[in-house]
Amino acid sequence: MNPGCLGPEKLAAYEAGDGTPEERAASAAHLLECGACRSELDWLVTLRGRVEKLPRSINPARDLWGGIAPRLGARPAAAPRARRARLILLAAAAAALMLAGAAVTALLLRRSTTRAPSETATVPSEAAPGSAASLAQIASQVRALELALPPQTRALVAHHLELIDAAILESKAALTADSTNPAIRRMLEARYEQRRGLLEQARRAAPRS
Amino acid sequence: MTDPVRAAQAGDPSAFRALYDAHVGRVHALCLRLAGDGALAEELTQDVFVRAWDQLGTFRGESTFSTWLHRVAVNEVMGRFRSRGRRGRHESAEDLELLDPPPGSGAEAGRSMDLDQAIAGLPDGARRVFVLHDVEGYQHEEIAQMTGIAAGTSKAQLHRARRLLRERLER
Repeated sequence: MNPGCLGPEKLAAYEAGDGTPEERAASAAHLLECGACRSELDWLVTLRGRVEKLPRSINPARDLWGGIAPRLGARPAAAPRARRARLILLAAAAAALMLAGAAVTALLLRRSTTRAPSETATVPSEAAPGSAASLAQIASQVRALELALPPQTRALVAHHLELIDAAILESKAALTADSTNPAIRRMLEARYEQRRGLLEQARRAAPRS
Repeated sequence: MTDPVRAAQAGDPSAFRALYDAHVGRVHALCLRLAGDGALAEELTQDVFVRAWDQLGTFRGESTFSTWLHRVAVNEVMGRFRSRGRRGRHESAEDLELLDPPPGSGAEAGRSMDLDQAIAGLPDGARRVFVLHDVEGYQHEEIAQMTGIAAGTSKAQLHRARRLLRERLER
């Protein structure tokens, strides 16, 4: 290569059609006079043509699936990122509510020993926790969700419904022990709302089909 | 998003098998050219599909599944080479020429060969850059990111690969 010859980058750029009109004109002028650079350029054109003819697909000589399938079992079915983020928030919110609920229950149970028995309260009539009607309602809601939710979401929602229902039962037991405590009644109502909210969030997080 | 992809995302291995059948040739071709070795290419192909299964949840249909899988394959293969490279010797732009096998050496000497054979016979660094740049269409900056080398080294490796291919194919 002579000192004035086009280097590999300039030759490749010329072959690819890159560069300003001035740069291309200068390269073209040099190529007219330099056999070595023309030969390099010819090779680049030839090589590009051969690369374009390479097969894009080459099947392996044997079926490789046998070395893949046994390694697939460990993967949990992951939700797409946006939905996964919502589910993480959902789980965190549910966990926070559960912790807060447990703390409030403990506090109210301690206070209930000093409360006058004149106040009365009733369990919300919408669905008594643990009753056959409540369980059937929950089962129906979960079945409806199963049609739309991927397995991981389904398991998560079912898990948190179980936790909320346990909290409802706990609150109901507290209310039975202290039926005059309006704070426990409000907490029980709040947990019904929490359960409805969880289902609603899960529906929003579910993929659209 | 196609049904097999959606079903595989939901954890259906038979749907993933269908995706494997549809795409294994493309993935294997990439692995074969990057590795330059049939047995290693088969191993890498299997690793790519296992990785794809693990990462299916990140596919949101913003590109075709084929494009997404291709990127997973490149990342998986180059990640493997990078981890090997950390344990072995790095090639720099300066010592490339010293490592080049002389023309006419190697098992392929004395007989004509097709381009894939010639690519397989290139030194590792030159082969990977050539495949990524000239065959797969990546830019030097992208290759630098994928391989952990400088963009200038990628350019030097590409020039070296083209020169070696010429020496081998035009004999």
